Amino acid sequence: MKRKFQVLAVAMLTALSSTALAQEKKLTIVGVNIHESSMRGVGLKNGVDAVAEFEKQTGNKVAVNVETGPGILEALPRLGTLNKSAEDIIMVSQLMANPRIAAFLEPLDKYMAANAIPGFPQDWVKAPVDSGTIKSQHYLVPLRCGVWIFWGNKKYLSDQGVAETPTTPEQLYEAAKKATFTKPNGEKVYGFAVRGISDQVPSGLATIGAMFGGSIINEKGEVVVNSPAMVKAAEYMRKLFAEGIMPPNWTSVDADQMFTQGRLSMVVSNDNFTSRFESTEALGPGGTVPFHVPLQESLRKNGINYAGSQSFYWGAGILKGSQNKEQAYALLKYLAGPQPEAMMMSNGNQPCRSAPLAKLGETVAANKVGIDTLAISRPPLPGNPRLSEASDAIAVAVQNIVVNGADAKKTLDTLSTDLKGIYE
Amino acid sequence: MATNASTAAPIPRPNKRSRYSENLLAATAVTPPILLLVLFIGIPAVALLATAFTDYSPGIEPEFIGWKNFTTLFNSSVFYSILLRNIGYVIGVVSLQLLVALGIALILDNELPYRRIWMALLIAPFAISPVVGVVIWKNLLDPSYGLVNYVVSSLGLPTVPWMSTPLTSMIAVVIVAVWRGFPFIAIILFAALRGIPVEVKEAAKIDGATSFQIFWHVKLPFIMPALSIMALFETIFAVREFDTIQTMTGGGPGTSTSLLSHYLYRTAFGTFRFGMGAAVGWVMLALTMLMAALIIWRAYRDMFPKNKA
Repeated sequence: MKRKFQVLAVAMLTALSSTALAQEKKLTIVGVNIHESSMRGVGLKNGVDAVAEFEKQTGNKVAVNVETGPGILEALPRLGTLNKSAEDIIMVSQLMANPRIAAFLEPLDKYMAANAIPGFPQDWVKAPVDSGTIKSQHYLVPLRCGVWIFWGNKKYLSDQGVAETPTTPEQLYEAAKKATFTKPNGEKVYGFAVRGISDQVPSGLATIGAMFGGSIINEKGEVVVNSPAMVKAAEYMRKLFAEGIMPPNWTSVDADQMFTQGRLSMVVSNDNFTSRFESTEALGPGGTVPFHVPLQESLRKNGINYAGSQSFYWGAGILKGSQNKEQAYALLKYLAGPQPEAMMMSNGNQPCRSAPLAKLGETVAANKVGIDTLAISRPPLPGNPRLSEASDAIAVAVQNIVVNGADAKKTLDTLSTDLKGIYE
Repeated sequence: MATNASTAAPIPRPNKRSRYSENLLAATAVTPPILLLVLFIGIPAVALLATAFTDYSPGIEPEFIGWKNFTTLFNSSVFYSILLRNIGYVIGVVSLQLLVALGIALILDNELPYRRIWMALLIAPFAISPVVGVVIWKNLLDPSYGLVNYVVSSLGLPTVPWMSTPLTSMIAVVIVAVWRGFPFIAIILFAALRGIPVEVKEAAKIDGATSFQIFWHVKLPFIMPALSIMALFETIFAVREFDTIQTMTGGGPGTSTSLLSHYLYRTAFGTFRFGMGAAVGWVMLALTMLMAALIIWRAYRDMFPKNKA
């Protein structure tokens, strides 16, 4: 009996210690659902698991904790200020990448000095690398890059008599008006939408503003949100909303979801959404037509007849409180490698390395449009420790103009003063 | 027989030792909750107050800035509009919840057929997870495919652009808040109504009182303590309303449906101004305590009249 107890005790201890060991070998990435689908193929018809090989090679189990859009913004300071965090890697977008990330993330240079990521940073798109570099230290490895482009529902557009995709704001208005209709079952299909939920509004304003040659903050860093072009852009959005071309619950509805559900004819969205849009039953394979951001006729020059939009990126950084920094860096390096990069590309991820990005454009129509657009685009707001404050102020102002009917010029003037207080 | 008083056993007076052990027992029983209150409410509240006097924002070294957060707050027109909206929201939602719940409790108090089934149905909104309930309503009220507008248009009435204007967004939020809150109140009020002695109601009837008079002069005074407690709870819940706003409207369009708790969240976690967020938190606490004190004073002043002797 005593012997049996001893054997049982040893077995239990072994099981417990192996569980503890297994826990030590776990790496946790904090991201949003798009990262889970691009890394692990979750939710995609023919998704592949790009992380499985790393798990096999190193014995580390990789978990992707999925946060919501606002949730990930909140997660960075929350997890980044912990001395010990159960999470190891966090995905940081252009909305979060500002100088204060240095307080939350581990500088990667010492790891890179010992074990470099081939081609980093020279082979990467410059803008995202720059915004993840604080005081000459690298904090982020950009893994997902892209730009907003226009997408149309092919069937709806042709059924409603829109033969060509629009190339000017005026054409866009006419096409969107035509493509606003009611289905036989009584469900209304709206002609056009750009994302209207708070944290997405600056990107939307930047994209619509670009159609008229405006921007929120220009390349010199000056706040120009109240320029005539931006006033025109805000009034243009209000017109689309007031005439029922944009959905009435624009500020609270997910425009991409509406598009995939067949309740929207045209949407402004990521250029790397081919897999996502074609994975949905409502649109079906080849059911979408990607096209360039329309540009006002008078602004066309150097043979470019489309506008830029907002470029976006997600970089991966190691949390300061991670207990497995070496392994976390090994995972970062692995994800930045050519093989997982290719697998993630097949899951619809658009990489941040220039060469594969260009190659992707040769085969996928939306990526071709995206690469053209990326060349003349930048993030809507430059990095700043008070970036979220600026973003919030823009969201409130634009929603007030578009939905609540506030005077565009006056509201943008006030917004300009607020933004100057933050940026200048 | 006359010696009864003298022979009766005297009530034993607790000796010093037993009094000590009684006190010790009481202290042992009271200490853990007090410690928990200090740990989970007292210390965070003091820390929050201290934060309110700094410009703390994660990743940036905090500095003591005195009353600046409070002065900025009280000089902000946005904050005033949110504060007033929150007060209006509390008054509107709590009144509606109490009225609907009282009506339903009175109906249930009659000998209704299948009363248990009605009660089970009544509790359903309370049993559903708050966020799930809000998401269901968001879909029901969707302007293009929502069931509510479908029914409205089927009746030949004009559809309502829910969540498309400040007014329809706020109405939608109020509908959901009332729907979520009234079942619990109704159940409590129903229990209070069932507790009224039948003789009292019968006596009022014999005296010729009408149904309204019975309600006003008999039932209402009896259920007033329960009604007051419910008003108090619902006021506290309404002041701190967050999940309905965040899930349904995100505070928009603009800030037209934002309430204090949402403003606090947006300030602290949306824009990382934790110092300012803490100041909003203290304003919320003051508002809650003020409203609670008013309700308690109004409800209990009649129950504990001053001794006029």
